[in-house]
Amino acid sequence: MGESPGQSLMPATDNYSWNQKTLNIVFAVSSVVLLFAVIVMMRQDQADEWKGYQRTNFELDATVREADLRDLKSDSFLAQQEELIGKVNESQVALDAKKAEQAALFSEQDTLQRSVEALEIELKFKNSDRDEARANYDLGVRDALPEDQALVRFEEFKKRQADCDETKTRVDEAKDLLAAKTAEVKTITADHDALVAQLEKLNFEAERIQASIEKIKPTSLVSSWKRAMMELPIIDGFNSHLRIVQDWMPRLSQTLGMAEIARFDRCRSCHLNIDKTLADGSAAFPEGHPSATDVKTWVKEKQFPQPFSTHPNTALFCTASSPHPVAKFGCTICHDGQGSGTSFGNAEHTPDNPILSHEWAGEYGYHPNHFWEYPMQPSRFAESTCIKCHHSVTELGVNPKFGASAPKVHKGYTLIQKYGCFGCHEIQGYDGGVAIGPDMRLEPQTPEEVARIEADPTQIAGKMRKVGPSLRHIAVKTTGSWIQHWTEVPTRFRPTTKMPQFFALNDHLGAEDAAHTKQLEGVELAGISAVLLGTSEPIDLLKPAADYVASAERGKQLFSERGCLACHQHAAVPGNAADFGPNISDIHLKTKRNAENPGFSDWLYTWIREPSRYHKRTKMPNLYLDVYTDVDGVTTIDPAADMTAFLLSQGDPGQYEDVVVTDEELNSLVSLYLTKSRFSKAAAESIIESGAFPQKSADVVGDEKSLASEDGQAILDPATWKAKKLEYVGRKTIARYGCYACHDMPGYELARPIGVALHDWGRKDTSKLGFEHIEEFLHHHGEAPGSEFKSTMERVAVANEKMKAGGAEKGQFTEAEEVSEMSASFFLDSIQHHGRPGFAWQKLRAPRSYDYEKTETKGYDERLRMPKFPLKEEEIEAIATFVLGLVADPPADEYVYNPGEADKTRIEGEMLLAKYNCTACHMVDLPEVTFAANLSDITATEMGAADHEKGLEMLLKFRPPRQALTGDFHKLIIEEEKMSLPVATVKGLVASRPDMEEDPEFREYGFDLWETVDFGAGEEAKRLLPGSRLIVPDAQMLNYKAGRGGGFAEWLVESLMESKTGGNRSLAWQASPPPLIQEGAKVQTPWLYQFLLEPTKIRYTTVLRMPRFNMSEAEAKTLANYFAAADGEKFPYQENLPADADYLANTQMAMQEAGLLAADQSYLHESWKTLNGPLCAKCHSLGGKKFKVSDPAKDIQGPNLNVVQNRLRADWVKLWLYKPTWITPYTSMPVNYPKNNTTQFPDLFHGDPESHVNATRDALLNYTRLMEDIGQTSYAPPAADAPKADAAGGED
Amino acid sequence: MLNPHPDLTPSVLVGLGWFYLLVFLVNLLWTFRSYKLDGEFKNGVPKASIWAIYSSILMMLSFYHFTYPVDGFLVTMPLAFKNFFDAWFSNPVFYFFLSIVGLVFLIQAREWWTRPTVAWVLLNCSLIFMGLSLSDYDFRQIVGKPDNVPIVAMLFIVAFFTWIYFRRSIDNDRRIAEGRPLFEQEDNEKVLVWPDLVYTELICMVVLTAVLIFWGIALKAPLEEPASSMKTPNPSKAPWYFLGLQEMLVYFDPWLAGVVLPSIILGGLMAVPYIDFNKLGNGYYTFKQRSFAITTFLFGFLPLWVALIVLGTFLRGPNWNFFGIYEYWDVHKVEAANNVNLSEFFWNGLGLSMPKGSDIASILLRESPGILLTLSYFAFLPPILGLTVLRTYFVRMGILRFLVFSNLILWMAVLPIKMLLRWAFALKYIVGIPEYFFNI
Repeated sequence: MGESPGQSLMPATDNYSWNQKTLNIVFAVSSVVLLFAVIVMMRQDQADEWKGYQRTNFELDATVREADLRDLKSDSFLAQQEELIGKVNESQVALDAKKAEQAALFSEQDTLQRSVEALEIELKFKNSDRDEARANYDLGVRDALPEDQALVRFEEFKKRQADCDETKTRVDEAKDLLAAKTAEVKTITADHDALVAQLEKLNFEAERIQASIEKIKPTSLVSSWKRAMMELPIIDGFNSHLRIVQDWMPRLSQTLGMAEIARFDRCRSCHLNIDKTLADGSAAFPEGHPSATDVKTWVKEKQFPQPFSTHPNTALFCTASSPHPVAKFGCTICHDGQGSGTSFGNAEHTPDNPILSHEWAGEYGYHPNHFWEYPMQPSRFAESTCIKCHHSVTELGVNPKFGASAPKVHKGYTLIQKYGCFGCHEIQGYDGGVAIGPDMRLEPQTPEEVARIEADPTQIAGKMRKVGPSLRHIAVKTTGSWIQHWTEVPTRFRPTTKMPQFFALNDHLGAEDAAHTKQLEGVELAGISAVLLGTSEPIDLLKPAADYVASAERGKQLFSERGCLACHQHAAVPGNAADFGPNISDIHLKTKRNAENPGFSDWLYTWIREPSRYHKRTKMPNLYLDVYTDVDGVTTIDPAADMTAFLLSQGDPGQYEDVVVTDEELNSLVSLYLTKSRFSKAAAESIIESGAFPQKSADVVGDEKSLASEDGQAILDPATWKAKKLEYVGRKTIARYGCYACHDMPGYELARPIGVALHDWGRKDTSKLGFEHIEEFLHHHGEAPGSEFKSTMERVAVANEKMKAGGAEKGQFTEAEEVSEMSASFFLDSIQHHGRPGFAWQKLRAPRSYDYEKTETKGYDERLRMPKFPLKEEEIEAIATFVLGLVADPPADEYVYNPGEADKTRIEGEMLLAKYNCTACHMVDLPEVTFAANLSDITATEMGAADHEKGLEMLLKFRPPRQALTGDFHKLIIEEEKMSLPVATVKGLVASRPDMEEDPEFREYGFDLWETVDFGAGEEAKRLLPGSRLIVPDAQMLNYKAGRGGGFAEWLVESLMESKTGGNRSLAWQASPPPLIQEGAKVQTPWLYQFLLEPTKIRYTTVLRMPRFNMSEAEAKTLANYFAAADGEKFPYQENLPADADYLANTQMAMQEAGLLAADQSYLHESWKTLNGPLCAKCHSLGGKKFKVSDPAKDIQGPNLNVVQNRLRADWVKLWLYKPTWITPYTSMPVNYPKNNTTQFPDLFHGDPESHVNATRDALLNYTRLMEDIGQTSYAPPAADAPKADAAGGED
Repeated sequence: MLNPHPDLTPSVLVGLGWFYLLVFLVNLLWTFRSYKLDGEFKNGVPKASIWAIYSSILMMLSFYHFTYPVDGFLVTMPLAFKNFFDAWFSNPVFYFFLSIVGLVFLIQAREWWTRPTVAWVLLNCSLIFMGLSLSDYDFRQIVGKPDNVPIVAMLFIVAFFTWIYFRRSIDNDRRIAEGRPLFEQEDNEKVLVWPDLVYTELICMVVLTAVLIFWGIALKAPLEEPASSMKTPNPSKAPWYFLGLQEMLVYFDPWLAGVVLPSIILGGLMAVPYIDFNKLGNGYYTFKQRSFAITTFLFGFLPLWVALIVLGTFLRGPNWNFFGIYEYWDVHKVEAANNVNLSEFFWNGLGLSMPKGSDIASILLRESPGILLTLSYFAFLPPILGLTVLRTYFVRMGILRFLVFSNLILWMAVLPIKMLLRWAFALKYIVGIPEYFFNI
């Protein structure tokens, strides 16, 4: 726009200042520009990514349906259709041919039809008139009309009613006529109508699909045009097919700044198929990477890219039948992200590594938006949000229905439990009694604290025990020099320890600083050991009998058999991998020996014999290592003493030097701490020099008490003063490092955790994280010595280059390397963006590295204190997953996982199994064998003549058949013949292993089944019952998945087979801890509760006993209930049917009616005889008669039978009596009452074995009563029929 | 290694390529203008040839940006310059001092810098400075924030209108001195409401709407995190037009900086027509005839308002610390800032102990030096000024108008005075009565 040049002075004239033509052009141009701007704006508004995805998805949908239609219209379908159409046409022709003849009939029908209709109309009118007359009469009654007038109205009504009735009769007559005629007509068209119906039925599905395709991909011009119109701007606001899909969760609020607002998830606007499943529940659009970008290829390859794919775990998520239906939960409660965002960027997707981030930036214009507080979890942390609702965590790792659904976060949880992070970092799960997350607090440490918490209804006590051993009596256990040696670098003494390292972490310091630090740390170590030994409380140690000579050799045998190896490893007894307790190969080095006998330690003896005497809260159980007399009846054996001797016989005690403490360093630390305690520098110097603390020790609170004397006078003896100073520094050091977080220490019972609380760390403001110079550190350092990289940054740079070049797919990495290196890359990137994950990662890798170049400018006592734990990087990631999930932001109550009674018990029980390591000895789930089944080689279990059908019925209820065939097939070559065999899985114990000296084709495994399995379905199915042996050729073995738990038992079985049972696996199993399969269905809960608290000896066959765990009554209760809950049985109480008076009376009557019992006989009395017969007493102590050994080599003593009535459940006992190997394949218990043996007790119940089973069961479960009523009984069957009577018999 | 804060990225280079292309195009036009108007050097070469050479350099620069890879790129702001700039300009004292010097230069050298060629050279300098600076990550972070883009634009717009003003006034002042008619008289600009005014307004409206729409599409609305009382942004900044006020908060108690001073600014601006007795300068540009008024206004507007907005926007970072324009905004930067009240200076200076006690009498006693000083500032300075420097004003205004006028001037002076005192003596408050939230 130019200014018109001013020519001369000119008044306002009619001339325009601007050239009108120019102005018009400018106006026109600017208007066009504005129009263009508006169009660009609308275009921007219309260019939403989700619309594109929805269009593609309609195309995809149509393609899938077209494919369905193609599948439906198979050749046979088309042939059928054609045939039917032909038939319909034929019949139509036939019908048409007869048309003329039938015309009269049709017209008659038509006439009748019309007359019916006319009459019906007439009736309708007459009915109305009648109703009017009736109403008039009713109104007359209301108005109390004179009788005559009322009568008139009534007469009128009667007349009308009669008229109606008459018309109705005529209608009915006409209808009858019509019906008759119609039937006549139908007989002619019936065939044709049936054919037409058949055709319609055949076409129905195809037409339905066709119609649905027509809807999304119209073929008609008008419909397509209408569909296109509906996508136009503004019009699309009126119920267009392109629309935002919203999930509204008003109760699942999210916190934005200061407000709680309802959650709107629009994720499904793009992820349209996320909850689509097929009829069988599998994903309708499984995720994958199809080879091309067109939908036809996707459908053909059955692989669908994001965002068109279905959720990978539809059993758990999204679908209506899953526990997390998308309509109720939405997406962002689990995934985080911005639910209201409708573009890739706004949804706040988070890449799993920086390379992916780079790719996304190119593909979607992605960049992280740090203003959104809840970005989506990268897939490596996807599980961390589970614990928002699943506060008990355990169900995410062990779940009978869904398996380990969130193994990583569960692993993090167990690692934190193992390493005791909660000792320093409180993980508070409650906010004033309201659950806000997983609760991992230490249990109260003093009775006063327990009482205080119990008195306060808003407080819930913590449950975690301190993870380290008690140091309360440490002086009797070990020496000060060892304490120093150990504490400085625990892994130096024991590489597998879980104790973290507090000292000698000086890689981040300069050489001079490191040397000085080492000297100061020496003072601290000496201080710690001085405090520990100085405050150690005396304790009465147990001692073996004075004249007892311990045998190390026997000790080794006992050590391996009595259960120590369930938790510990020892180099002298190799072959097992237990790591619940420490590896104690080195225990002889540290243990303090008896002064008079260096080959023995009373402390170790006491610890082995009665662990809780030394450490009240130890998890180490009491193994009942009581003194006993050997089988020879002469030798007294004190197993604990023998084991002690064995452990100490491994070598001489270790020699460790005390650290050197120079006065200079000691004084500098004393001075430092005194000045921090409000003493001036000068005052501190004077105290150090004179040994005179200005207060009496009674007046001092705090650690300075160590320095003060009783009378407030100077301490002149230099040695005493030095010891006092050391103790002072020791106390300060203990307080600084928080040793009491893991260890019970006298005087520190009430000390508070020293670390940052973690209960909401997952949302901690990142500006509050002290990153300090960590980037600089990682630029130059950060990798373990010996690594091929100088620094973490270099490592990640190399990894990133490899990843850019294609990663594992292109052979740059192995798969495992890609996972670990991209993990490092992710975390380093997180550090560079000051993210929480990166901070936690480096904090756990090298906690002190955050002090890099910071130590120069701060005091020694201000340095970082977090120790280094011996964690692997993947363990760190698991811990990070857990800790990042701690957000203390639980959703509304109905969303928080609230298991029912049974599930809750199961979950708590699982926690206890882990806490006390029950699964070390006991298998709680059997090994699973996967193999290629040659069905012709599998022999179905036949019912023998001895087996009871009723028993089988019970068995199938107890162990219902499971399909062994997985539906997959495995191709293999057997004897040069190519075969494709069905894959099968069975559960059972290994019965025999292949002999490796055999030819490969003869190598085979044997498995004893513990479950009922069917191979195949229908009539050809082969059923194998529990207890049967399955032989699997080595060549057909596909996989052996170890059972859950029982590692020690399996080890012990192998070991006993060599040492004791002469290769007999069944006997070895009988001597080992039993698998607890269906334990809940087996034992009575109240008994189990008692047993857990005070285990009694049950079996005589075992080499070890169930130990007594240091558990509370509540824990015993939970654990007892757990087994019942896990098996779906009733708990905590069960009925004992056989003890029921009605049951007994009815049985008595039924028996008598059946003629099995004489009228004068008592059922229970006869049962008692059955039980006390020669069968049971052969192996069991019973009815007051002790078991007698006749052949020590062969006789096997069974459990005492007096415990059965309180211990076992009635049904289980009965099934056991029918056939014991159905329940426990390795048992020695025989079938005592075979179905085909009616002669063994001919006088009892007429020799009926079925009744014997019942009677024995009932006698066992009425044991006490019968003992009281009848007492000791002996029953011998009539001699002629009982050849076994002399084997072991009754006595007086 | 993926550097999270790269100075140069391919997209930055392409963006700068376009920038230099634009600068090249306008300079090409300028070259034509120069060829027509500027004449020749003594040897017959057109003066425009300088511009032609400059333009062609710009063009090459532009193509260099478009074609060259990120690694080894040469044209960036030299590190030495950045360090020098950060070291010297990350200091409010120097910055404020410079803004005053700039104002003085603006007025003194107005004849020189309003010449079109000089102004064009200055504009080019600033554009090249911008272009080079944009190659720095931290500079881009601050200047390129969608929030701050209007302020960059404002800098150029303010400069342009100031230039217009001075150019016109110089012309008129010269005319007045030579006795010629004013430009406004000579070039009668009286026009018709329709179509000259309303039609052009309509066009402006349309163009402006289009510009705003394009702006809205190109620079998305800068949304930050949801507001939270638990976590405030750091730095926590006012809207850009209030950043001058926010800067005052550094030197004054909120009630003064946030309530009293803004009220006085508004009231003072409203009072201007009633105070002004100078009849000259109505309806035409002039500097000489209104030099006092214009200087006062420019002082209040440029250093005390615009410069403080720029300072608040570009130079104040986390914790309200001062950052150089090429400096990373590190929250860990700490600036020592210990300030002392006048009363402490006073009593300590006298070697006396400060009056203790929280009763009003002791508080007043304690703060008496500041209170007396403040009262005398407003009570004694106006008469003194009226009798000395501003004698002519006093005479022409009369007592009431003069008192209002002189008080407004004194209030205006309060800000630089307090700034100077803070910088020179680390003075916190002249009167510090935190007991009653009364601090001056």
